[in-house]
Amino acid sequence: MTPIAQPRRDLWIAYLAAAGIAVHVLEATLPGPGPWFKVGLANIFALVAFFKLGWRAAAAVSLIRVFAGSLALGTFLSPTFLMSLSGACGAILIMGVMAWLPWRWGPVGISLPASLAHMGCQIIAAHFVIIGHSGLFLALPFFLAGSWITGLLNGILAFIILDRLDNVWNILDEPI
Amino acid sequence: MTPLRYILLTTLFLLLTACAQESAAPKSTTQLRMGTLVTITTWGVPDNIEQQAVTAGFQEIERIEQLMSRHLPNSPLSQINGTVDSAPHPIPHEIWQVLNLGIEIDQLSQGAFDMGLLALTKLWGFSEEPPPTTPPAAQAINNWLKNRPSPPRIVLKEPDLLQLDPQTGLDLGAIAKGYAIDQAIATLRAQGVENAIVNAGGNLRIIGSKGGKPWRVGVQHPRDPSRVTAVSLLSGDIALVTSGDYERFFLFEGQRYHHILDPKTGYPAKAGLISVSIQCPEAITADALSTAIFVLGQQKGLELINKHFPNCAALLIDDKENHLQTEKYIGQWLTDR
Amino acid sequence: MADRQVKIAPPWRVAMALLKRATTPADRWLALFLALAIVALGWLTKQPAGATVTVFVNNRAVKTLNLFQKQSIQVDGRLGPVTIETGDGHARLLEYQSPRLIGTRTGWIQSAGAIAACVPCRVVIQINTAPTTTPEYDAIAQ
Repeated sequence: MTPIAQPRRDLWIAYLAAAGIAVHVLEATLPGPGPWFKVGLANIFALVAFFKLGWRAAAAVSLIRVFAGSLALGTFLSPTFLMSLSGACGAILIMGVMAWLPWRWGPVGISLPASLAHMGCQIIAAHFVIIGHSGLFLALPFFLAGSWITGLLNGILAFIILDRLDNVWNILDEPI
Repeated sequence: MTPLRYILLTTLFLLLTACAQESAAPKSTTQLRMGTLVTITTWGVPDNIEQQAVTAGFQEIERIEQLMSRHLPNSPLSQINGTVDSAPHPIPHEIWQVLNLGIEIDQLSQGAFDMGLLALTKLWGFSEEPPPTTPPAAQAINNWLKNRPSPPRIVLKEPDLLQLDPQTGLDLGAIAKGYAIDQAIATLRAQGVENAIVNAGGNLRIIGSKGGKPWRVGVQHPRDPSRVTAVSLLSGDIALVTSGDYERFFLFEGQRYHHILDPKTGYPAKAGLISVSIQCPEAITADALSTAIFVLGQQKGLELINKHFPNCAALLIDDKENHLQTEKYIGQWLTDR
Repeated sequence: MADRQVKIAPPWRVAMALLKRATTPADRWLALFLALAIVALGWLTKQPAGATVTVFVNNRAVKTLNLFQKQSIQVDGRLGPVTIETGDGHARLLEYQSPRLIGTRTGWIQSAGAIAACVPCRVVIQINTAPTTTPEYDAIAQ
């Protein structure tokens, strides 16, 4: 892979983050099956960043999306924001662990554990911030099952995008 | 870099699986025996052996109850109580052995422990259903005291012969449970169980431990059944028997009448103690001593243990809830629990 | 122009092919492992729903009841009928004929291995769930 010059890299991070924010806001306005049962399509862009630019870039895309998204939705510093942030941090950490592991992963292999970690950390945050009752954890397997499905879905979508992206990626490197 | 990753990964995995290993938990079975709840707890025994051993243990307890119970009209003990002459009669060897130890403690405790109180016990009626709510007439108790023949009332002769005074009835209630516990432990051992607790209505004996970790045994608070007042970490082979004025009692006109009778007065013992816990190698000794010391009170009770039962230990709680432990007593008093 | 039949692959075959292309072998193993882990977690946390209480009369098990089913049954104790109630994950013993009413005073029991008994009635009930926490004491001397 040809090394991308820093301005080019920042541009990509910005593009992916912007796409993430847009999708995140759109998803927030759509009705969903349950309170936290969002498909999380915005994570796809973090995955693209992960495979194209590395873990640090993916972390940046995720965090920018969480902060800017909450500002856009007006939930900045609210309990929802805290849950979202903790979920994103959990996902980022797991992505880092997966990168460190010796096996070769595809987008699905990163998306699945990241999705589960995201949901897990959200539930833990919800326990402390909103619901003190530990009955919440009894529903954990259900939430995690949902996250498994969305993780798989997002991974496949990320793969499709990455596949197409290979065709256009190098266009930006060509001298104008 | 990659081989190092594999190594780190494998060690992490192994550590996690090691932490996830559960240590075996003790298994308990409870049955109604001897008029109380009896629980046999074992540790570290495979399921099939455990079932067999526990069944054998309860069967042994049942056998001893059938042998020594004064409540069962056809038990050998009841038949002994039915004899009307003072000639020596052959009795079951086990009853002879139990009486032998009982007589020894009777003599050493100067009559505080007495197995011949059947008539008095029936008068008070603590073991009957429904339980008593008023004391018997003072006249009846005086009559009993007056008409009591002088000792010795229970005389043992070899081999397995008993000379029982015709006016005396045997009640082994203060010693038979201990014997049953010892026999149950022996049965468990014979079945291959090395770590167990036999707990008969709060009187217990432990053997072994939980794989090195001692058994955690609590002594119930005499006035608050939901509280544990002392904790003992026991392992090896030791019995712990408690006698208290809270097990069977009634309140009448502001006074507490409990089931541990003083043979000298005919009334419940009033020596200042409300709970006596005895630790001995055998439950039978602990059982008899706990009654004896309860009746004797602190001073004479401690003398008895120190002089004649050096391998036993006591925890005494008096009516002001002060407590005292002899040196060898294994246990920790809990404050403000 | 001749009409050509366009063969369109069945959708599930397309999906399978996509899945195969989109995932590495490691991905597939991981997906399976995580799915199993979630199922295992679900099974472990579902234990309370299988909780039962066994009723013993004269040391013989006569009935096993589901703790989560609201019901009230009667068994013949030595002093007369004894009522046992279950529901909401707990059980209790009610004996109106027993002189001391110790079984009734025990109230609702629900923890693993917990016992309520009317000794003169010869009736004992015991919770059957496997203990999840180690008990504080292995035995109580009283």
